[in-house]
Amino acid sequence: MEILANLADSFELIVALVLIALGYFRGRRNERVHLADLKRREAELHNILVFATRYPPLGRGTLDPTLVSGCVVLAADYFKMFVAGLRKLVGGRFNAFETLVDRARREAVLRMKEQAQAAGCDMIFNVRVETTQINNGARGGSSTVEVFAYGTAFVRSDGSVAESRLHHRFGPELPAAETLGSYDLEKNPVAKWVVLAWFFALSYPFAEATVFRTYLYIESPPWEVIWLLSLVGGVAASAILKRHQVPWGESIVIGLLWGLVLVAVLYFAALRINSLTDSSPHTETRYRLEKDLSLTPLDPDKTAVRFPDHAYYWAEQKTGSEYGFVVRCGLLGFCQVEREKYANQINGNWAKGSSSKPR
Amino acid sequence: MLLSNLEIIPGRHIVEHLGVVQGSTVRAKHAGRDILAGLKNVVGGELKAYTELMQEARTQATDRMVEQAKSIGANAVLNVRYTATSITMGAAEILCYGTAVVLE
Repeated sequence: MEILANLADSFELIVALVLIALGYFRGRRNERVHLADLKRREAELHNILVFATRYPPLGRGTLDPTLVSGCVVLAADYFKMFVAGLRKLVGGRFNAFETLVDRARREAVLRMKEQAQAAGCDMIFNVRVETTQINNGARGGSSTVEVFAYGTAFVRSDGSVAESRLHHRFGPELPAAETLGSYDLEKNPVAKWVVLAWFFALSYPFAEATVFRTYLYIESPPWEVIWLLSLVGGVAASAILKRHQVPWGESIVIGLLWGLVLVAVLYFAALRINSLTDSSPHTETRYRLEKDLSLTPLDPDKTAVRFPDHAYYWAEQKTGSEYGFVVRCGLLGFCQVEREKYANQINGNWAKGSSSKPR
Repeated sequence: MLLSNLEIIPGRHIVEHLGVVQGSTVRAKHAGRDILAGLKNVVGGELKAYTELMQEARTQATDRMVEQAKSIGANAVLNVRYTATSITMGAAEILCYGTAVVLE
């Protein structure tokens, strides 16, 4: 059992070690497989020549150009990032990253060669290789680099420019921004209203907690019911959004947020509903403190109450002294007390000392 | 529309030179695939979602440049260059520019 307790203490360390081990073994394997694949494909495509020169071959007749390109995005694994962190302390060559960028460059050039082969060319001129940093490894992410290789390949031309078969072909029609639901929530009307309603729902518990603060729970609030209803509400919000073409990532996040806000809303709404369903008049009831720290009402029609959260205060008071609070017990099955007088009683008299003054 | 990143096309000569044309786009990837790309960061390797993102962005940028060249009456774009910038995690801006000419 102690071993488990000690393991629990060093949980983050264990997670880090597991990730480093995973990064090492899977990462090394991925790299090995990729390097073998690169070697095989380079052997297949060795007849496609790649030149960095800006001048095409002259004396071969009329040629038509076509732009060929290849791009790849590679990410470093966790082990590489860990090693990089150590290397940064002493400086020097980052061998791990050198292999990463080299692999990316070879892959991009191979893809460009494959595209040239598909177009029927065997020489590519003015090859440029551009590297872009997608993520630089800040904030725990891993370094991601994109390499784009492009050049011009030539095909012997038969006729005029207009007859050439190498004219640029337009790419597939990408979905317009209006129909994409991913980063354009405001364009999706259902999602827009769900999110706006969330902000309104959020303002209610804020208002209750800071401005109104009318009631306090005497015993604990009905947590199981609150959690259950919030879960149902969150799942319903997710389902509604998913039905209206919001991608699952956003709909789950918004469903989660709705669940959380419903917990807060129901916490305060239960107090309000409970008070509204209590048909008794809104007047103070006088209670007498008993030895077991419960407060029995002087009026036999009311129920006794006990404040378990503030037992430390009631234990200090004199048995038999009388207090007056407004207590509401409604149809929801629990009782609540009006906050103002009760809080003044608890806080004010606690500050003054243990002697209590009956009201 | 013939595209080339050289300045000279063997066997053809430039009749008219119509200026610089460009096409650019900023694209972001679907949020779900972005999360899976985050998992890939433990074992490394190629992030296919990002590769597709960059390819789509480049295709769209090139298409926009070609449209602009067509609209001014060119039949070739020479000296094509690409630049790429990563805007935030998961979004990239690609600019494609070149010289629009009329080739004989």
